[in-house]
Formats: sequence, structure tokens, C-alpha cells
Amino acid sequence: MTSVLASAQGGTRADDVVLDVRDLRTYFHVMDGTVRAVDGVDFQIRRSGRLALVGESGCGKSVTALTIMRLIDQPPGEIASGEVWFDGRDLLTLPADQMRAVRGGEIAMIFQEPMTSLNPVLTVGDQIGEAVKLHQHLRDREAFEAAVQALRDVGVPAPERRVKQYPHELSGGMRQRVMIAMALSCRPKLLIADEPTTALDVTIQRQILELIKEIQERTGTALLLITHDLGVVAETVDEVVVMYAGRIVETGTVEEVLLEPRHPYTRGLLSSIPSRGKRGQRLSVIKGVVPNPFRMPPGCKFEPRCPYAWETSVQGEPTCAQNEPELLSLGDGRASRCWLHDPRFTGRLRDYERPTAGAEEAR
Amino acid sequence: MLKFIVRRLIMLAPILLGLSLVMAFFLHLLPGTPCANILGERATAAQLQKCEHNLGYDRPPIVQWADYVVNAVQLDFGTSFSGARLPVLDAFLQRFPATIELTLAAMLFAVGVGIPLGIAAAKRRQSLLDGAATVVSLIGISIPIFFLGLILVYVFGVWLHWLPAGGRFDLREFDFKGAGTNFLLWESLVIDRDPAKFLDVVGHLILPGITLGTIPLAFVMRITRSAVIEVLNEDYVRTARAKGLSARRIDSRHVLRNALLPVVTVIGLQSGLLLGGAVLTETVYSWGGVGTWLFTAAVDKDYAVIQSGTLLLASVFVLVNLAVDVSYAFLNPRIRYA
Repeated sequence: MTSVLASAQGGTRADDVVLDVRDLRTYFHVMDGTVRAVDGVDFQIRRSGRLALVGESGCGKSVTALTIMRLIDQPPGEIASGEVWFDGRDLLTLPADQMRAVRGGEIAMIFQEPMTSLNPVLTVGDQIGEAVKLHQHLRDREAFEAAVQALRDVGVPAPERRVKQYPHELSGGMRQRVMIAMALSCRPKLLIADEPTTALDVTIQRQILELIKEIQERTGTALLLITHDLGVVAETVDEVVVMYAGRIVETGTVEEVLLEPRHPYTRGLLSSIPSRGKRGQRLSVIKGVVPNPFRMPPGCKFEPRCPYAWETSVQGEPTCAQNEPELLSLGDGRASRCWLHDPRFTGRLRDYERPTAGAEEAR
Repeated sequence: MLKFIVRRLIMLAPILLGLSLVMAFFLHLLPGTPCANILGERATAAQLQKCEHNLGYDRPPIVQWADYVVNAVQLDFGTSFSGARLPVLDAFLQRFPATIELTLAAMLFAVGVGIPLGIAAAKRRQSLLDGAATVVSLIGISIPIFFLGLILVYVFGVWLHWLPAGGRFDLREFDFKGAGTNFLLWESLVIDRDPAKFLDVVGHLILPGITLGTIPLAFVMRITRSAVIEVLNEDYVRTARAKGLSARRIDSRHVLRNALLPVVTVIGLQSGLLLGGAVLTETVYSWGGVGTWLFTAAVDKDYAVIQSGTLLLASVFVLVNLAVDVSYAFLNPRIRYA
């Protein structure tokens, strides 16, 4: 559980770490200026580990994944700084042909939209087969067999028949299974799943999540799950990284983050989940909207929406609106980017941690 | 699929029937009858009346149309009264091969240059190449055909002497009296097996092909460019990149086949149009195609040629479109005809 902490403190790479992302910054240069989509992100995933990147749309979680895969179009994108250590290599400095061998071969990715992520004019067998042919150097016949087996592994019924079908002949859930089969066909060391269930029906969502979990446990691949759905997080991963406006705002194990959120943003996210206990009450929301990427607040990026933000009158003391906090280590692998955790503000932290009362007052 | 083709062919009957009716009434609306042209300026009113009576032009138009349809069903499309007084079908079969060869040359030029140029422009958007391609295609669409044709003839035919300035083959060196299909490419290569003759025919096709092909080229280029740009942004292209495929493989396997769909439509539509005859190009290069044939017939009020020529060309247009639809099914598995 110390991995996240270690990376936050700039620790060394351990042998059991499969992915080590350091100070990653991805910018997009567009007509109106520069969007800092990912602005200094650090995290690690252990071998066979399961980590979720959580946040609202536009917080930079998908861009982080695409940057790891080096699938950012440059221009308009720019990987401004950072290192992505994967199995002893920095992916960001790898030659293009070696990077292609990593993509699909060692790191595989599942995307959000199974409807549009498969090529409509090729059979699913062709699409799974071309990955195995490329990375495992199989012949056509063997690739076909591998595709059938991959479909069988993800629970597609009648794989011998399905393998010859086109994407439009399959349901959404089936297509996502095909995507998973394709991703896992080359036995990757890391699977990146970018909102794998968002576009699916609720009943199918559960099946797909179970499948990803089951396969992850069976094959021992590491999992980087990207989602905005905290329910999905609770069921699938061990560690959580919460992102806001291109930065990490909180890290910890899944139990810690979901049961004891340290950052006001995480607390807001959790309290906006509808639950049986809150039936009949107005659903609480995080007021305001994600800040305009061209006019980021100078201090804490969450300050304009934060119910706990405060002004200070003491000379020289940092303020939420003017000074951006560091990602402060809280021990035990936990970290939070909030002034509340600065030793100078323990009084305020006590109010924050008083069960719900503080929050309700503040709202 | 076969069922679909047969049904579309059956659909041809009402299309042609309707078209012939429209043509019959348009011809009736034209002042005068062919008799004025047949008899010449000095014909008397009585002679004209007799001629019109003999040829049946004094009957009600609906009767004339019914009569025409009955003959046409038996493949009797009437006889032209000007020139060699050939039956219309024979004249058509003699001239249409020239039009087909010209269309082939033009479309080969349009597709062969337009698709690669469109892809290159899409892949290097906003580059110098993209800008140049846009300008060239705009010029291609804007420049009048007869002007471009004359310029090409002057530069490459008269001035540089690189290519023949007109005609379908060198009359002084070769003759095509043998098979009589009038498909000169086919005859020279397959029947006569004469490479020199074949090259001569090809050489004669180059300038007319470029002249006629510039406008389709511009269309094909623009459509290819926008289709490729659209497909490059598709999620499945990202999936293909995430699989680790090389850029070339992604282009050939994932991008091109999807981008080709709208391009095929344009190719089919343009081919259909060109097969309808190219009066200007045929005139510049003294090319005996169906364009000048129909144009002359319209000027001469050669009823049989106008009526039947239109019908035959309409059939060709429908068949080309059918071919486009059939090719869709091969390119796009989501389309299944039943």
C-alpha cells in the first residue's frame, strides 16, 4: 500500500512495480490557448495490481491513459514532461517501433464505446487475429484459432460462429466482450480499461465488470481502470487515485478513499451518489462546474466549488484561493491535495472530520 | 443479392416507360416536325403535310408514343433520317464503345490521381500539399472543358508533338476494319495482338481522358479527403493504433476501406454522367461518341435518335448505379440486399 506514497515522494522503482508514472504533463495547444489536460501526475501500479483513476469528465484521466500508450496526436497535443516507466523502460522515450510492440502486446486498452471502437467492415475474428498475428507472429490459421479461443475465454457463446461475424451483428455487451478478448489475446502485463462499462446497460455493466475482474485474477495482468463511477471502483480495484483538473487530489486504498475521503472533492463525489438511506431527500451535488481550462484558479483548483475553503487574515498564511496546496502525504500510502492537511490548520481539519456536521453547516 | 439485382432490373421497365412518355411529349412541344429538315427549306405545305402523314407525325402524341413503345419492346428503335440512315440501335452500338473508352480513360485519371491525392491531403491537413491540392481541384472544377481541351491540344499536340491532337487512332498507320466492335483497346490488344496499335490507341486517349477527367478528379479528391479525415477520427482507428499496428497497415486495412464508401458513390455518379456523352470533349478531339451524336440529333430534330438514344443512355445510367449499389455490399458488410 505504500506504492502511491512512494511515487508521491519520488521514491525508487521497486521490482514489483509494473507501471511507474512520474510528473506526467500533457498539454493541448488549441486556438484559444493551451489546455493543461494532465498537469503533474504521479502514480504506480504493482504487478497484478488494480488501480482506478477517478474523476469527472475532463479531469484528465483518459488523457493520462492515452499518454501512457502514446496515442496523443501531436500536434495539437504535447507530452510536456514526465516519465512512464514500464518494465524498466521509459515509454515516452522509446523508439516508435518498440512502442508499437508494447501497444497491444504488453499494454492493452479497452475503450468506452464498444459500438464505435470496432471496425464495421472487418469480422471480429479478423480484428482479434491481427493483434495476435502482429505480436505473437502466428500464421492466419493459428491466429483464427487464437481468436476463437480468446472469444471463448471472455464467455462469448458459440465462438466458432461469432468469430466470423461483423460488429453490427453483435449486441453492445457482446462487442465489449470482443474488445476485452482482443485486449487480452496477447496476454498483456497491463490492461487499461477506459470507462469500459459506461456505454452499457446496467445489467450488462455488472457482467462486464465481473468478467474483467475474473480475467484479471486468472491471468494476473495489472489493471488500470478509468471511471467516474465510484460504484464500479468499489467493486473492482484495490487502490484509487482521484483526479481533478489534471491533478491528483487524493490517493489511497479503495476502502480508505471511499469510507474516509480526505479531500473535500472526494467527499463531494461520494455524497452525490444516490442511496437508499437518502431516499426522499434532495440529492447533494458539488455546486458549480469544472473550471474553465483557460482560466484556472490561481490557488487550489477546487477552491471555487469547495464548501470548506476559507479566507485567512493571518499574514503569510497560505489561502485556498491564492496558493495551490501540494499533494500532502498522510502516511500509510494516503495523500490529499488540500490545505486542511497542512499542520498549521489542524483545528479546521477537526471540524472537517466531525461526522457530517461540518459539511452540512458549510453547505 | 441475385434477387436484389433482378428486382432492380425489373424496375428498369417503368423507368424507361415513364421516360419515353416524357420524351414523346417534349418532342411534341417542339415547333415543327422532322419533315421540315428532311424536305428542306423549299418544301411546300402540301409536301410537308404528306410527309408528316406518311411518317405518322399527324397522329395524337399518345398514339405516337404507344406505337414507339410497341416497336421499342421488339428492339426496333427506329431509323435515323440523317447521315447514313442507320437504325438507331446500330448507330448507338457503333458510337457507344468510343464513349465507354473515353469514360474509362477519364475515370482512370480521376480515380488514379484523385484518391492518392485526397489521402495525402487528408493525412497532411493544412500543409502545403493540402493547400495545393485544394487549389488544383478548384481550378479543375472551374476551368471550362473546351478551353482546357484546346490548351492541352495546343501544348502537347501542336507545340510539343508528344501526343496526337485528335481522333481515336492514327488513320495513316492503322485500320480497324476487322472485328467491328469499335472497342479499339480490346481489338488492338486481344484480337489483333498488335502492341504498337494498342499504344497508339492509348496515346490518343490520354489528352481527351485528362480533359474529361479533371472535373471528376476534383470531386473524387475532395470526397476522398473529407472521408479519410472523418475515418481517421473514428474510435476504431484509435483501437487499431492501440493494438500496435503500423501506420501503413492502419491506413490500408482500417481507414481506406471505410473511407472508400462515399468515394464509390461519386465514382459511380460521375461515370454515369460521362457515359451519357461528353459533347465538348468529343468536339475538341473529333471523338465519335454518343455526346455529339445526340447533340446533332437534337439540332436536326432526328426524333428516333433523340428518343431512343435517351432511353439507351438512361438504361446505362441505371445499370451503372446498380453496379455501385452492388459494390457497396462488397465494401460494407452492414449492407445486405435481400
